[in-house]
Amino acid sequence: MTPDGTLETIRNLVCDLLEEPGLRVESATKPSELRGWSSLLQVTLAVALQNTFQIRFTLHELDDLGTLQELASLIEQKLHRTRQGRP
Amino acid sequence: MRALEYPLDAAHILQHQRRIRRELLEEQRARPPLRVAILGGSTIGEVVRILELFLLERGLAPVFYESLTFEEEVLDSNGALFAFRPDVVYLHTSLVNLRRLPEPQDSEEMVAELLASEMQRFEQLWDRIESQARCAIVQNNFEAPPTRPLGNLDAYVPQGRVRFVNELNRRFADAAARRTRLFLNDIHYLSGQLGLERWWSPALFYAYGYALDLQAIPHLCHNLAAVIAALLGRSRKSLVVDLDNTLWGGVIGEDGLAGIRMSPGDPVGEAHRALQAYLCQLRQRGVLLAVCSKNDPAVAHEGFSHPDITLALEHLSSFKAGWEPKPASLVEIAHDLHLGTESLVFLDDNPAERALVERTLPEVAVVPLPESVDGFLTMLDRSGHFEPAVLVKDDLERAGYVRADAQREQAARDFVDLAGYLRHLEMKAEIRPISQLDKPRAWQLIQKTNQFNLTGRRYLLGELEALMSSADHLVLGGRLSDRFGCNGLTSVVIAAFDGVTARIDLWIMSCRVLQRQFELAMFDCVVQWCRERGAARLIGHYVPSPRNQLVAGLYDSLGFAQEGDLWSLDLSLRHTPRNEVIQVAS
Repeated sequence: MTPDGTLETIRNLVCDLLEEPGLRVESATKPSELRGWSSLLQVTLAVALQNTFQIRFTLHELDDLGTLQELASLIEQKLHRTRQGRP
Repeated sequence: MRALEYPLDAAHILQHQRRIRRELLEEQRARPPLRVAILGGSTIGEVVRILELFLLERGLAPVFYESLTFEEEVLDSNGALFAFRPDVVYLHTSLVNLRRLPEPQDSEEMVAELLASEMQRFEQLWDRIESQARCAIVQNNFEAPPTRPLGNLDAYVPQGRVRFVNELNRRFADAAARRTRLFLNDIHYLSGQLGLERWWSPALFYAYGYALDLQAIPHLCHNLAAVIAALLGRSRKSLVVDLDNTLWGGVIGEDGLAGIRMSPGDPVGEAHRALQAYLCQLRQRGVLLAVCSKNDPAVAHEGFSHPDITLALEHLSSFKAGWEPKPASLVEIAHDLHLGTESLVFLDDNPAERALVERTLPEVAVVPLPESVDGFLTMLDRSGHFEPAVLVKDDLERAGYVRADAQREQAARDFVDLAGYLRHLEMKAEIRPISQLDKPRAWQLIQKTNQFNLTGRRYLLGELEALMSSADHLVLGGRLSDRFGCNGLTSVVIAAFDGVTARIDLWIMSCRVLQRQFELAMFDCVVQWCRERGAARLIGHYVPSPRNQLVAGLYDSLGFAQEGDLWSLDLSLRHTPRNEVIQVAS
């Protein structure tokens, strides 16, 4: 998946969780800043991303997942490491 | 809704929960309200959200009370919990809520003390809930520990944590058997079924306080909703099974009796045998079995003469073989069994038949069978459609009743007039206030009866208990027997007294004893009891529902006068007993 694809997948997940399919979410936004977002959705998002990309977040990362862009980079990094055969 | 039926796609449910909720709420159906208090010892947010979906799916309208501090909540004397008036209190506790687990250096006495103190702690909570709210309590037991400091010894030395949890679970089971209002949500089994590694996520516990992985929550809630639905008498009542390639392997019309497969030693045969054995077990606990097969009737029957078949023809309460579409046969079967189609579960290997039933009769539960027969049984078992709340003796005898029904029908055909037939039955009735012994059956009957049901009122077990001991209420039960056997407890009347007025809040009768004048015998007794209590007027109420047209004219036929919505009978007038054919002891 391209970095853009990753960002798009995260964006769609966020929209799914909020049930607002057409919502424009800027990549510099933290999900927690969105109207209607909750700590509950934050957990759900983390778990859904782990499933979708077959990755694990560390406890530190779970603490603050950052903006959509930062989240996409984090996932990209993890995917890259997996492709390199490193955990 | 398919998304909420086994096998569950947990990720899909978690991700699309808002859409699923909206779609469920768009369904046009009458939903009885249900007040659920969820008391957690760990984070419960997602549990509440997901449980709501499964309860909506079960046709209920849940409202929730949430708390993260289960002990304080129950013991708090200000009692916001009890002011909520819960119908169900769910204690979502797990290993993380135990004060401590045994350590390798603990003495045997210390471990015994630890066990006793944990039991005492929970017993105290249950006592308190039972005394403050007449509601059902659903309590998690405990999952196996995620790690074992003692390795395999953990399972058998006194200091072992696995052994400790097993012992605690055994004591919870004893408590649930003893307490009529305590029901277990068996997360010990559930976590095993799912796998402990998928059940418990250290990261989610440390980061968000969840005592189980998010992915496990839909499984937890599916199981929990089945328990709650069962408490409310909303489990399904009959399994309708296809024959060819479902009950047995092969097609009897083509392969012949010798060609169909259900013999020990034959791999395909073994799988069908296991399914047959499971069906027998369902039947023993009161689920009615029926056959719906596209076959020549004689050919379909022939299959039951196979030397290796486990299921006998007399185990089946209805048998439809023919060439009409299956939805039509299902409607006939429901009619035969005096059930609504919403009580049926349909088991068929053919995806086209399943799709047709799903489309035509959406209220029938269709089990999504996999392609290979070895997966049939698991799929049926996990569905949770037949979850029982209690094991009632009457359920175990139900199969016998259905046989006696057949003999009665034969006798009825031998008589030209009804009165002659009824006298020939030599019926005897016992009509008295419900005893503790009859309580579970009475409650079950109240939950289940739809047709001969004047008001459609449902009660929680605790409410029924309260009415039984109330001085202002009469809870009368009737059992009927005849020359072919005993029908067990088949009618209940609940009357409330207010000065010189008695009001019938509930009057139900099992369809098994329709047209036997048993309702007249009950009526005579109600009149007699009410008069003895000094009532001068008896008030009845008929609340129409889609299923109780049968009794729309009952009060009229019994001589009640209509007064607006109510029916009224003057008890000061002489009462001539209406029942002429049943000998009553009361």
